[in-house]
Amino acid sequence: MKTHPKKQMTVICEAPVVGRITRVLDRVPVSGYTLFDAHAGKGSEGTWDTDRMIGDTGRMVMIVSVMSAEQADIAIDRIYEALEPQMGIITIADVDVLRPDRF
Amino acid sequence: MDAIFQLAAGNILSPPVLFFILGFVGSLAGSQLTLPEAMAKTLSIYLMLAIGFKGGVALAAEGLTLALVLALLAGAVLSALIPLVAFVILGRISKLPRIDAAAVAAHYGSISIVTFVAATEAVRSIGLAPEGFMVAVAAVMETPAILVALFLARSAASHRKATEHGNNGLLQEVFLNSSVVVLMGAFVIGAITGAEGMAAIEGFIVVPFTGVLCLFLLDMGAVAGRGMAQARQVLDARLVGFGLVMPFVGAAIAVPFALLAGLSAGGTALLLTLAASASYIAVPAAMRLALPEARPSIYLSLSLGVTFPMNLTVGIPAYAAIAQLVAGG
Repeated sequence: MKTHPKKQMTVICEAPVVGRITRVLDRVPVSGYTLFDAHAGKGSEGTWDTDRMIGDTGRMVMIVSVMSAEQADIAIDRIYEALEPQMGIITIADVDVLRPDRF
Repeated sequence: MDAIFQLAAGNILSPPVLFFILGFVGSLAGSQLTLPEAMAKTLSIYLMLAIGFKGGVALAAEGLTLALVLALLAGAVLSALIPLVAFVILGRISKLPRIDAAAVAAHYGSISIVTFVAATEAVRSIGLAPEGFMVAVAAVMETPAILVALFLARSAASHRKATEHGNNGLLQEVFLNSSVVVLMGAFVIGAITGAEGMAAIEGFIVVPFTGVLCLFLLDMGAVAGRGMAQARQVLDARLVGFGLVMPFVGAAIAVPFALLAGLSAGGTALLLTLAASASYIAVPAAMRLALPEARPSIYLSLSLGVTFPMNLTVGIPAYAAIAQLVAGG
């Protein structure tokens, strides 16, 4: 089956910042994204676990979006700018999709 | 003084506070006790709904009074004033960077709704009848403190950066967070439906209330215990002292406001509690957005691990006793 190259952007950020990131993605605009609640983890600030928390502070969320290379170029700068003072991880990976018109 | 100790003992020996202490001690001892997050959220929405509705029904019986307007004003001014005082005190006693001090100050100006709910229950249990509109005062006091803290931190570089990336909607998000929406919404519904509405849902919101509060405070005790375990690692003695004393400073500042607004002893007790309490849900999330360089380990462990348990056990009865002294009752 023929596949088509796209970029997949993955952002892991604090729950309170999610709105800021999705607003950036909406403005690019990308065709869509999916949010995942992270359960627990470890980073430079130590370990964390959502069962031991209250409220959104410290809760992490993963945002995944597939887009064209041009969209990724625009998105990466804006997301970096929005996330720069915050903790978080941004990665971009090459992916292949089956239906290129969707992204 | 005897009366204060009697009241404090009576408060500590009530089921909700004992369950809180159980959760607190259990978690400090290493118990893994937690309620699932969704359950804790549901319980807190129930408590907001019940307390808001009861306040609204009381308002329907009292009618709109000048005291309501004065109390709302007093709440807004207190919420803006207390962070300034907290900021000055922190500057004197600690070496916290300006941005951390501003973030901590925001927490102490804003309020903890859970503390408010526990205080309402405690105040009613000793026979005082707080004004129904205190629910609205609580809602008004959440936000002004955040504005003042942002002003206090304005010189810090990160704040400028963060602002460029849109704090638009920050205050709206804080003000419209789910507890305020449920609390104020239920308050309005209670005010519209009055005694008849109360009769219709009394079995749901009055009888089970104390039991639900016990279950919720059991979980909150565990959360606060973990907060204190963290506080022991990150806070020095001066900051812990601040977390223990600042609530009483806030309550003392609130006394003249309560008198000016003409609040009853029950209403005064609640205003003092609101002024004494520190936010640990809405403001920390707002601070992660607006002042990302301020350390949550400082402000969250201080408000959640030090001030919150102190208020629930010793603080509330003390404020109630002070209220009875100054407002009669």
